[in-house]
Amino acid sequence: MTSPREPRLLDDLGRRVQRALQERTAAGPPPQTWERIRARAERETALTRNLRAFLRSMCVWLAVDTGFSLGVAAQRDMLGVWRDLSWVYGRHRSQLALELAF
Amino acid sequence: MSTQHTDGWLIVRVREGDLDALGELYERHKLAVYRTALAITRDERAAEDILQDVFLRVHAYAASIDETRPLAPWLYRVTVNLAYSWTKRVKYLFYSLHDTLDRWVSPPQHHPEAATDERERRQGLQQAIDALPLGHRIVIVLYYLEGLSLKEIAYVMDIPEGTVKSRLHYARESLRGALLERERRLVPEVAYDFT
Repeated sequence: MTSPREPRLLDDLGRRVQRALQERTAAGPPPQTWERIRARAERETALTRNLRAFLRSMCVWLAVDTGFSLGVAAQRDMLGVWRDLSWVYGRHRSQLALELAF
Repeated sequence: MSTQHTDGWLIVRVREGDLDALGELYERHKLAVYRTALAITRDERAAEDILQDVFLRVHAYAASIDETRPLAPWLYRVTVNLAYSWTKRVKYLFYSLHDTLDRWVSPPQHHPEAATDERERRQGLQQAIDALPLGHRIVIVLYYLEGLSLKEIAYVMDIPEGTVKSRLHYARESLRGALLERERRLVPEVAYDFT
């Protein structure tokens, strides 16, 4: 859709609609828009990196705590980390519930 | 920057965290995205927000974008979805208030002498486009402003091609009717006196 297109043959109504729309949208975006996008993208990248680091450390901690192999846990990806967390939670849920009950 | 980089190559770079590649994609597609968002929302601020969100999504979802296929349809699809949501959200909050104020501040006036003025007619047509149902307006914008084919519009809007065709037909009929009605109102009435 970015390659130059053959100009479409338009009837009178079509040409008028096209002109009306072009007139309204003639101005481009403000010049500083890209800087805003870049700043937000950098922020999100940093946030994701921090979240991943946090989850990794959580995983390591839980792995040690539950007797997992540290090597296996460290090699897992994000999805794996979530899986581990939910597995650990599932495994200890009843014990936690008992502890809370007393 | 080199211009021979394909969108697909740039997407792969974005996936690896290259923000300059994202910048190149932005330069390449910003006008189409902004223009489409502005034509649908009729709000420059919203159009800029949508432009930002579209490219942040390219950044966030680069891993799931198929780099072997053209990027533009994906961009149009996200743009239309965001513009659609924005319009639906503010429609009742803002435009009803805006229209009411408009009616109070400037009651409709007809100037017969301006009937032939092309600019006046174009404004009338813009109002008629604004009055179209949202789904019809989006089809009109994509077809006439962006030059997309019916098949491409069907993909962007996630509707059957036949629906695109019928929306285009009804939107055109509606615009034609609005223009005829407007021109009839603008032509000065001639009072014949046969006495």
